[in-house]
Amino acid sequence: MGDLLVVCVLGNVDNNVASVADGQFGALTTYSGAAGYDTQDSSWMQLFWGVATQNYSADPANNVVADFSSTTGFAEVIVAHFRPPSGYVFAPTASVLGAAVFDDTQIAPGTGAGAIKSGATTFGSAPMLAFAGSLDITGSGGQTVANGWTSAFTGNSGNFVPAWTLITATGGEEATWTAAPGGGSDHYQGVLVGLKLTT
Amino acid sequence: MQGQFGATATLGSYQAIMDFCAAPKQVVFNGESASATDFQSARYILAAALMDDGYCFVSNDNSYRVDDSICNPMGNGSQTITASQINTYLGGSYSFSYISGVQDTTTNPGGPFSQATLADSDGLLLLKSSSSSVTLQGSWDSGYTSTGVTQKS
Repeated sequence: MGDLLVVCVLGNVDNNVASVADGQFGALTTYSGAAGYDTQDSSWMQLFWGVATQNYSADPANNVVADFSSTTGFAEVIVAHFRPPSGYVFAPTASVLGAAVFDDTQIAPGTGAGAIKSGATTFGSAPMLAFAGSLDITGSGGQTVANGWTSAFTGNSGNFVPAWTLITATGGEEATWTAAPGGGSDHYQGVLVGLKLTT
Repeated sequence: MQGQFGATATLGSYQAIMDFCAAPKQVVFNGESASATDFQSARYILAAALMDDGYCFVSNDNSYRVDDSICNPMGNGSQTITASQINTYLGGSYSFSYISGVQDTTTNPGGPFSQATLADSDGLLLLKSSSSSVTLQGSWDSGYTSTGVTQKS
């Protein structure tokens, strides 16, 4: 109990994911600010998440099902399962999990470090897991996390690079990547969310 | 203790510890219930604690437990205690958090503990963690699909 599932859905149609559910974590939630559409590359990216309130008995296979719109020509689901530090659980999805924000300033491929920020929205609770995803839909990916956050897997054949960190102070947050020279012609796309922990 | 030694031995030990301690006899009677909804066990533990004058603490499945306590003895004046000092004393590298209280949210606000100032003759109960980070349990990717519904196990 208290584990967190974060799901990033990718597609090529604006606002094209109706729902996401996991066999163990149940229906996942999201906020409007945890999504973004890149009109130049027709790339949709949205984060969903859920907190385990059961003992993993509903679906041993842990299937995640995302219901995309019928006009979708491209769809992908990337999933990460997190466990909180000892003594903590992730706050239930029924409560406010913190800020969910679209990126402020995007990363320009091949030009060095860039950030996906919470902008004017501050994370109002601590401790909190800050999670961000960076997508290079047109290039070869390879961007690397640059500001001490953790990134232990990739998706979309390496073009999607997540980053997360445990923050203990409220305020603005940003995830920073160093863009690879082989990145796409457009700026990298990303979203950033804060997911509250409680004792 | 009851599951191991029986009610008589458990309550006898409880009374012996109370008798041993000097005033104000700050003894915690800690009981373990089977689950978060095992209210019968919780009532039983509370009732047993009320057989004497100790504090009662009910936990389940190790979800909530007091891992450390700091005490400022009488006559010591106001003292500030840091997590670093506790780690030095314990000989470890732990992170600590406050318990999330309901009756006294100022003393027990929940969340990370870095330091606290204790009044003379006061104490504080803390949760101890050997890990201060969120850990990735697993990840998976459905890969590209052109269908409207996608899933991955």
